[in-house]
Amino acid sequence: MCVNTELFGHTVSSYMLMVFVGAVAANIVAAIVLIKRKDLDVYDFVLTELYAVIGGLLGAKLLYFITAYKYIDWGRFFEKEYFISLMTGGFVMYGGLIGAIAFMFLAKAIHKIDIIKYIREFIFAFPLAHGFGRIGCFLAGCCYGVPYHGHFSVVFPEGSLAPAGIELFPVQMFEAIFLFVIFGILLFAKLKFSFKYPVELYFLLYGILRIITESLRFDEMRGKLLGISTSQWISFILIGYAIISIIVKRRLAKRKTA
Amino acid sequence: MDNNFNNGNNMNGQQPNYGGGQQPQPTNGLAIAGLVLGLVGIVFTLVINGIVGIICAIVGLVLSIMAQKKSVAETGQKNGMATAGFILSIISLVVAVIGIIVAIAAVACITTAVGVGANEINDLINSLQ
Repeated sequence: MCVNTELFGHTVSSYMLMVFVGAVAANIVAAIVLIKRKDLDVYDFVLTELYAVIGGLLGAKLLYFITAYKYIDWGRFFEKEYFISLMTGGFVMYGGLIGAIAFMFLAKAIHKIDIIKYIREFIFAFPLAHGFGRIGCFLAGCCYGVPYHGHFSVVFPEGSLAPAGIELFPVQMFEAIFLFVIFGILLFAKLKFSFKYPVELYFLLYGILRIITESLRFDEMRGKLLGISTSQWISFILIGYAIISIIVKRRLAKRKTA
Repeated sequence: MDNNFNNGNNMNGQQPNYGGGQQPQPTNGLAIAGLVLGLVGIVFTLVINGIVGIICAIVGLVLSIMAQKKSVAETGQKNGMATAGFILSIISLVVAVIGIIVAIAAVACITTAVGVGANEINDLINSLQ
């Protein structure tokens, strides 16, 4: 809808502005949690977050290259402007998640941080930041939905990444709203019940959401295998992991108390 | 008459305690490196090159945190230089990110598949220049 935004006399990418806002919002909420917990160290938190962000960016970009390799002009890869456009466009969220987790284990190996504790404590930050990112997608017109004539259909203008003049389903805002709901559920479960399986809950909820939204998206160049998109396959794996993890952990807990 | 030159030692042969009770903090090379990189990061970010500024800020941040953890583990006290390097690196990082957002007035898209090829994003960048 609004590819670029005027801010204090500067033109900024609306998408990147939303990503920045999401990162700030997630850090503010995380800081409130951090202040209240004496057993959490701010330096370990910052290190874990730093490694997660670097790994996330690298992973998201790598999975984009894997899924969209047929559409990239590799002969122009080292041209400055083409390289910049490749680096600033095209990230795969699940690649980011895998990359972030991998780099957090690197932080564990190098700095001896108990990253599992920090992932469990701050998993709610992921959907919060991600939701703002999806709003950015809506503003930019990327990740657009299927042609749709009905309530809340949107028509993107010329210049956005979505096809102009066609009524589309606002799948970006649909996903953003449910990401904020997932954030609320995770935070509520943590604060009210000290829920024991926050990571598994996030994988379950987001996995289901992603399977649904993938079927409502119409943007091209989606990696697919047997008619199922890459992200749907990853969602199935994460949902399976979440269910198995909860079952195994509950059985181990029962054995300890028996 | 003997001159009892005891070289400053007391009757027990120990050095007298002239100063206060605290021992000076040992020099922490990591803290110095973190502080320097934090400063360099800010300078590069604001004046010269945002990408180099980000790299300096990230390395400065990691070194400052390592210095702080080492100081707390060894002496039980925080290291002021490490704290300063930590703060400067964070500021440098935030400023660099803001600068990159302002500089790249193009569409970035996080998606499982980019709806528009990189060529079209490239055309958009060309049209903005």
